[in-house]
Amino acid sequence: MSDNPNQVHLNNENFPGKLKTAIGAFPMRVNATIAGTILVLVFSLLEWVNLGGGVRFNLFTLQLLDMRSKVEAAQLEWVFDGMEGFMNFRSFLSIFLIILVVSILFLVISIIWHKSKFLRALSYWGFGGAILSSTVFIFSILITVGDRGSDVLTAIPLCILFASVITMFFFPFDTPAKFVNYIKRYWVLYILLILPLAQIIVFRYGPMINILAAFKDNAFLSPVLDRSWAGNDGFEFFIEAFNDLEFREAFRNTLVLSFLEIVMGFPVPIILAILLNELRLRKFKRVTQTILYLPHFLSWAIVAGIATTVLGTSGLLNNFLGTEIRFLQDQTNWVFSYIVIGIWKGMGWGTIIYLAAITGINPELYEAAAVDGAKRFRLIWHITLPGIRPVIILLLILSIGGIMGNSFERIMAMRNPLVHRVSDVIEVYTYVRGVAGMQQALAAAVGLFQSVVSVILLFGANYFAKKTGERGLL
Amino acid sequence: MNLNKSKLGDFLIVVCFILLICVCLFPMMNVFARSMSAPEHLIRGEVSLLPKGFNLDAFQLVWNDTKYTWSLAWTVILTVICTVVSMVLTVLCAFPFVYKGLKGRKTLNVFMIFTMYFGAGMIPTFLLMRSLGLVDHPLVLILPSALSIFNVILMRSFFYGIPDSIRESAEIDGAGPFKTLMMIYLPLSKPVLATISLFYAVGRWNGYGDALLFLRTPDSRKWDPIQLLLYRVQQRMTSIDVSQFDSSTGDAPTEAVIMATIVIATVPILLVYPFLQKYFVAGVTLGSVKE
Repeated sequence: MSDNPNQVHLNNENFPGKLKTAIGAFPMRVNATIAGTILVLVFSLLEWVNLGGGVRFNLFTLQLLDMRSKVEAAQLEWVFDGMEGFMNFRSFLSIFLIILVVSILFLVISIIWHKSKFLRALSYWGFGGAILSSTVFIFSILITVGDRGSDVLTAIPLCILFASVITMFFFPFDTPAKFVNYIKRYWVLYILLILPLAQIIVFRYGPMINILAAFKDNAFLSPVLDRSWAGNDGFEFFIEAFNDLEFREAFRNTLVLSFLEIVMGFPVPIILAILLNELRLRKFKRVTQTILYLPHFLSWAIVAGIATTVLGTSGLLNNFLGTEIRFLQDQTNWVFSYIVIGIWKGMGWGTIIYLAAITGINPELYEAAAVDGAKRFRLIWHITLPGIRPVIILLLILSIGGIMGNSFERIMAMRNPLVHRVSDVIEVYTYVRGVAGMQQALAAAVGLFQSVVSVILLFGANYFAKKTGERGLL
Repeated sequence: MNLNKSKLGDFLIVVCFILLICVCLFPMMNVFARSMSAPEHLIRGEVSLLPKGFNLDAFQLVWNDTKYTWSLAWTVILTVICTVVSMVLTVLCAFPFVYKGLKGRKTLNVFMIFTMYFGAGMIPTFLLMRSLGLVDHPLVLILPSALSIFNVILMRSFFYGIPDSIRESAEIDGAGPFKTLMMIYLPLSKPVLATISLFYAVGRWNGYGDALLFLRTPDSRKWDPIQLLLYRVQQRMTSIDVSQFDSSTGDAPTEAVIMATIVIATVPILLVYPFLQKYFVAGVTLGSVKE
């Protein structure tokens, strides 16, 4: 388990001579890494010998050829600005070879002088660092040059190399025996995890590589990695977005709607939960809860349909009030309708979590306070509210993290052409430009901006909460 | 609990909740009433909470329109498939975390939680779906949303509540992890299984954002879930989104037809929800328990 390279494990009893002692001197993960690296070297060498330099499938030359041709097409100059020497075939190869030689050197040192603690530690980290840097080196070239290493043959050694590095630093077993025992006991669990992890990798991490679309030119139909880099060091479309009046409006609308949502909507479930808790008629309470939760289960399309019907100029509400207020056609009215409809849908459901928190408050506190003569409001103020404070803070952090995002379904269902200047939030902008329209790069840039700001807000709020002594989210 | 019973306070609270119940119910009743009213009353705006000139013509129209009936049937099928697939994945994803000795448990946890806080965004996702060939394909409604990390955590926290000693005694009897899952964990987790299935089912029944994004061509209209159909029908009334405009939805539907569609899309939920309310509530309460 430990990362301490100085542990000595002599378990390969049948292995002859000095090599046996040398191998035994290291935790199993180091040996596994060494084996992995040797495998990669052999693999690359075989490719080199069989296919000849410059032919595809070659781990080293493949990248180089693509790199040279693409840079000659002058699409990627910014990547290599001021690094002309770097383009050279020999210098490229020599950098890679130097890294490999260094790592082998460390390997040899570690095998020969394995008895010196210092040298062993040095070689351990040196070797690991060398393969780590070479792997990062290759990956960075793959990504910047835009070659995906689409050939399986190129991918295999890369994967082995990567696995070696991971093994080097994270492999949690010291001896093969422990490893075998563990696998015997737990292998089923890893099999069970394959499908869900595949889903997460493909559909949650898979799109992340396409975030690069934000930094590349528009090319509607070609894969993101094949697109050429956008101007201004790739930030062309971020600049364009911020110079775009429509985006600035969308940004403003997002902030305004979310802010109003928090200010007006956030306290409602808290108040309702406290009131529900004060409700003493058991049956009435249960019926109330059932009805209040109900709107949560209606989709936004249905809610929008109901809203159009009820809030129309000749709808239920206007009939009731005897007025003809344009709830959904007037910009200001629409904003408030939007918020109120959101509250209508979510208020009952939101109480559940607070009610659960209230149930967790020690009843003795209430009794003690009541004996001291506290009235209902004082009980709420001094016991209930402090009791649910952690939950309030938690949900507040989450809603602050959600300031940059509105529900796509909600806004799409509720917007209408008369109010587009206040209703078109960032999601709508992204959708209209990038999915319905052809400006993918711009839309991707806006989307990335949105995601990053969301994460910053969330962790900022969490940090702030923790600083002020709250429990926080993470 | 509260020894100082103030009658006035109680009364005010009850009145307050009666008002809230009205606010929640009246809009829905209004829509129901409109779907069953005669057109002349609708136009004059006379329908409030109860139908006037009761008739079911709108439902008849919807029922005879294969576009609606097919969409409804497809949404039912889709919801069933999605719920099953999602439940299998969720259980598989949650169960291994029960084993505290599992190597990589913490890393996996971070790997999963990370996606809750940082998503790639609409365009990158769209590009991925296109490169996977899922755009305009019905599977796009199933696979990308098949696993909700939140539900995995919910399931996991329920599993954590099952004593380790039960599992260990099963292991002593020679049961492997899979057998432990099937024979012990699943039978003991029926309430949470019900809860999470409901979350997935309601989520799929109500969701249309993914369909709106990924079903682009008129040919793929046949895969529209009922909610998307409802969305499109309403958009035709207000004709907001020019890019969504197409002639395949036929004549602009009357208001009563839209109301009838809303009612049809709502009824399944209204039918199941009151009976399963305790499961929903249990789910949310479980979700608020931090690990």
